[in-house]
Order: sequence, then structure tokens, then C-alpha cells
Amino acid sequence: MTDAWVGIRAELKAPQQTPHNITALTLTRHVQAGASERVALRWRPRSGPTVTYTYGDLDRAVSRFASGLIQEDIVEGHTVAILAGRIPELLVAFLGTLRAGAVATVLFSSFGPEPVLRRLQRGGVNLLVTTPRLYRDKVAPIRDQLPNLRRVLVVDGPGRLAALSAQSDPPEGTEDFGAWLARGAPVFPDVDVEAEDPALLHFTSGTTGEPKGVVHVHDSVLAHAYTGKRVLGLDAGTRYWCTADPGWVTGISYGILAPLARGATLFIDEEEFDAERWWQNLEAERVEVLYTAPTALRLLRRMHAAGVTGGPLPFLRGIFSVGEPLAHADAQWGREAFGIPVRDTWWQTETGCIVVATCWDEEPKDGAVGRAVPPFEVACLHGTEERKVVAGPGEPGELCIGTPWPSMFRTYLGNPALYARSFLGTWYMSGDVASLDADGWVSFVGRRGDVFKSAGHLISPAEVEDAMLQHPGVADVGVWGRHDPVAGTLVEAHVVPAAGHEPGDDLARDILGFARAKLGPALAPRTIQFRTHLPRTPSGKIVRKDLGNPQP
Amino acid sequence: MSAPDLATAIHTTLRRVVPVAPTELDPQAPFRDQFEMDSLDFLNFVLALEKEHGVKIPEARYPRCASLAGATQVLGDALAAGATKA
Repeated sequence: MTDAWVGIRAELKAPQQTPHNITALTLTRHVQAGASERVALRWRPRSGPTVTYTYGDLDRAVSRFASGLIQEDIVEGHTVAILAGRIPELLVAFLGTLRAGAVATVLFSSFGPEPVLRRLQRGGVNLLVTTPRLYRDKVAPIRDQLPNLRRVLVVDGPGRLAALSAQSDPPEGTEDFGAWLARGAPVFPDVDVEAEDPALLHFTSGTTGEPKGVVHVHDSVLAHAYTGKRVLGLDAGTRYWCTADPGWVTGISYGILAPLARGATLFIDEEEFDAERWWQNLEAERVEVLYTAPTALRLLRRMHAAGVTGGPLPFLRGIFSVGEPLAHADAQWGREAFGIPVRDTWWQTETGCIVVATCWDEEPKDGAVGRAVPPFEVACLHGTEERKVVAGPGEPGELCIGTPWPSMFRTYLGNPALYARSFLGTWYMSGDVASLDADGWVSFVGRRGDVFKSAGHLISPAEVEDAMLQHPGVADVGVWGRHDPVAGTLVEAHVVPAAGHEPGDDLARDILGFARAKLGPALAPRTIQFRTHLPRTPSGKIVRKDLGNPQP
Repeated sequence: MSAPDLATAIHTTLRRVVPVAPTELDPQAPFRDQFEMDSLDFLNFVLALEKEHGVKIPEARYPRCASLAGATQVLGDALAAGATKA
């Protein structure tokens, strides 16, 4: 670890005996410093008034959850998964798992049963927190394929962290989350973990159909805390809204960990995107810092042009974007509509924290995401597999990051060989192609390998194809991105129909419906093109980039 | 078109755009409480209604289209506005 990270560690060090647990920095530190009454979370349910939870409220509920895990002997080496929408119980289960020393993984609630099964299996998940509806739709049908899954807790009627009695008849094979909390202890210490103990498991798309399980350790929170301040400008009490779902890494690193480590007040809206509601949120919550994505900005821009807007936002001082490079037109619109610049950031599930950014105190540069956030060191490498050299200013190459840093991933679960291949000497190779100018500003060109981004999320065509091939009408299928003015890129399937299946609207509808039911809206294709054959290499591999509408 | 016919036409469009939409819907309840529908689905649904019925739905009224009854009302109004202009 470089000297710079050592200094950052000293600055953030928790004042008690068990300094390494993520919850020591995100909760215990504040409670011990007398900030129990500071607001940690403002949660707006789909309907009804916004609810306030203090650091003390969160800390007690997290203790109750953690003590329950210990009683069940779900401890270090075990994994807890959460499959839920944006509800307070998600934070409680996530942080409670960390406090107990087990590994936490959050699955996107828009995944269908297939991606859910693959991730629960791959993670060897022992306990699952979900909702009755998600359980019925996505877990009950696959439960018999999950031998490690001991218990399922369901949240019925979210938001009542203090009302702890059982609220409902949970589905067969599950227990009520509230009853679980009621049995727990409201004060429970952070389990004394090592800095290098696994804490977080994130799934990201790989070039094969199997999702990659990216493992981060407890020490990673140093990087979240540091970049939360250095890049986003978060301080104690900052009113902050990260619009990302916790099913994606941004919703964890910057939706939960960075703001809590800084003692900020985070806002979470359970509802999906709704332009009018977003303006209301920004105004009513007096949001100071917003972290969002280009897709959301494009939707806001579109509705803004039609007159959907809000009152003045005198408190808003920072807007940041992540997921895909910010287009010039969207950045310009943001500056006009909000009166402040939109600043871009770049990082990956593997990096765990922001690496390249235009920080809160920097003026954005057109066409560039930003520069390496000190103490990060980045370079673009190009050349042959055998011999790589640092690209000159303006020359494209693979963006590489000098190792190590606290939130650098520590392995791909069950695939150490792939992990080893991600490094070249002391460099981590990101797989993203970029160029650096003479002043260190980074511009992105594209991505190596057979993956692409839709609405800011990495998609593995192979995972989508695997599910589609199960439809009897599909003889062959290749999946790739198709340009779309709002999403940037949509998932599109190129299908060779099976004998006896007539290509046309009926078959398209049937296949799309089938894929949607298996994969959910996050992964399922939105359009189908029928083809007589797919472009393939001599060895039989689909040339996805020749499927039309290539990525910019 | 009568309101029940309009509702049937909207339901057909919905099922085409979001293939997991059920055949039975509670007209008053938001779609999102009845099946999985994300922001892109919703936008595609409203744009498909505009295209199929040759009308412009004001963006400010998009949120009202989040249930079958709401969408029927909004589309009915848009059709009436179109007829007045013609």
C-alpha cells in the first residue's frame, strides 16, 4: 500500500478496539462520537410520507440483525444475500451481515429467476432476505436447487424498523424479517475481523454466461470513505442522493458505504424513475449532492424539454455521473438546467471505488471523464499480448491502474486463474480502452471483449443467449447492443429461428416474453432481429460486433 | 372508441411492449404493483400508445399512464384533443 493510503487510514481510523469491520467506520464511529441522533437515512416509500431514521435507529436494527446471524451460526465464511427493492431493511440486512463478520451480497430485484439462481448458487448463499412477492416469483421455483440456503427472511410492509412484531403470514419456507429483528439484541458489537477478511460479494457480467463473483474485503471502506470526500465532497450531515439501485455496485459503494462512512444523510426513493417525482425529491429533501447516471439525465432532459421541471434548487452543489461516459449534449443540458456542472466519474465493480473523476472542486473538461484521483496512478498500455508499452498522449490503450489500493478486488469467486490474468506486473488491467492527454485527462473509447453496457450496466451476451436458447423456436442466437436515444444502448437479440417456426411478430413476441420471464427487465432483450445465420469466426465463435449497430 | 374498447386496446399494447404483463389487470392499481415494469418499459409503452393512436401525449401526463384506468383517461383526452383540432 502506498504511503498516501497509509495516511488516509490514519486519518479515518476508528477510535475503538475493532477498527477493521466496515460497520466500525460506517455506524459505530458515529454512535460513539455522540451522533446517534443525526439523520442517517430519509426513505421515501412508493406511496406515503418520507420516513426518517437516525444513525442510532440504524445501529440498533443492524445490531438486532447481526445478533440473529450469530445465533444461527451464520458467521465468517458464510454469505447472506439480499434480493429486494430500495427499502430500509436492505441496508439493515446488508450492514448487519458485515457487523456479524459474514459476507454480504445484494442482488438486483429486476433479475429474473435464472440470473437469481446463478448468483445464489455461485455465492453459496446461506441466508436470503427478500420480500414475499420476490420470493414467490423468483426464489420459490428454484429453491430446491439451493442446498446451502438455510433460511429465508421476508419483509412484508417495509420501513418499520422499530415495530418489531411479526406482521404477516410469511410464505411457506420463510420467516418474517420483523420477527427475526424482534428476537435480536439492540446492542451488539462489531465482530473483530481482519482488514483482509472478505466482506462484499458483487456480481458482474463476464464474457462467458457465468457471472463473475467479485470479492472485496473489509479494508475497502477506507477507499469509499476517502473518495466520498475527495471526489463527491461528502461531509457529516451532507444531504446526499445516490439514485443507483444497491443491486449494482454504485448503489453499495456510494449508495450506502461512502455516505455512511462520512456521516452524511442519505436519501433513498423506493419508486422507479419518474421525472416529476425526482424534481420533487431534489427540492423537498434539499439535496446537496446527487450521484446519478447518463440514462437518468437523458430521461430528465427529455421531460424537461416538455416542461416537467421543479423550483429552484439553491442547496444543490454537486452532480456526478457514472455508468457510461457523459455525452456532451447531456452535460451541457445539465449545466443549464441545474446551474452547476455535471461531473463524470469512472470505476468498475473490480476497483470498488472511483478511480478516474472530475472531483467536486475541478472544472470538467469536454470529452474527458476526468483524471486519476490521487493517489491513484493510471496508464494506457498497448502493444501485443507478450509486450505492452505505455501509450503516448492521445493514443488509445487499455486503461491500467497501479496496485494495490484498499478496495481493489481480492479474487473472482471460484476463478483465481481469471483473477491472475487481470494483472500485468503491478498493473490491474481494466479491460476498458481509453486515452490520456498530456495533462492526464482520460477519455474512454470502448471495452475489450464480448460485453457491453445498457443503461450503464454491464451485460454479458452469453448469459442472455443461454436463456434464449431454451426456447424451442430459437435455433441460434447472438446478443449485442443496439443504439437507443434514451438507454444509450439496448439489448437486442439476433435469432435464427428453428425449423418449423415462422419468423414474424408472433414468434418475436413469444421469444421476447419467454426471455423476459427468465431474465427480468435488466437483462432481457427489448428487440429481436430474425436472421438466416449468424456471423461466426472459423472456430465457430459468434462475431457479436458484426451483429450490427456496434457500440460507439 | 368507447372507454372499454380503449382499455382493451391499451392492454394489448402493454402486453406487446412488456411481454410479462398479465392478461388480468386491476385497472385502478399501478402496473408496477402487478408486474415488473422498469422506466424503459414505461417510456416504450407510452411511445407505443402515441404511435398506434396517432396522438401526442403531453410528457407532463406520462405519470398518469401508470395504471390501466389512468392510461385510458389520458389516451381518451389525447384523442379528444386531436379530434377538436381536426
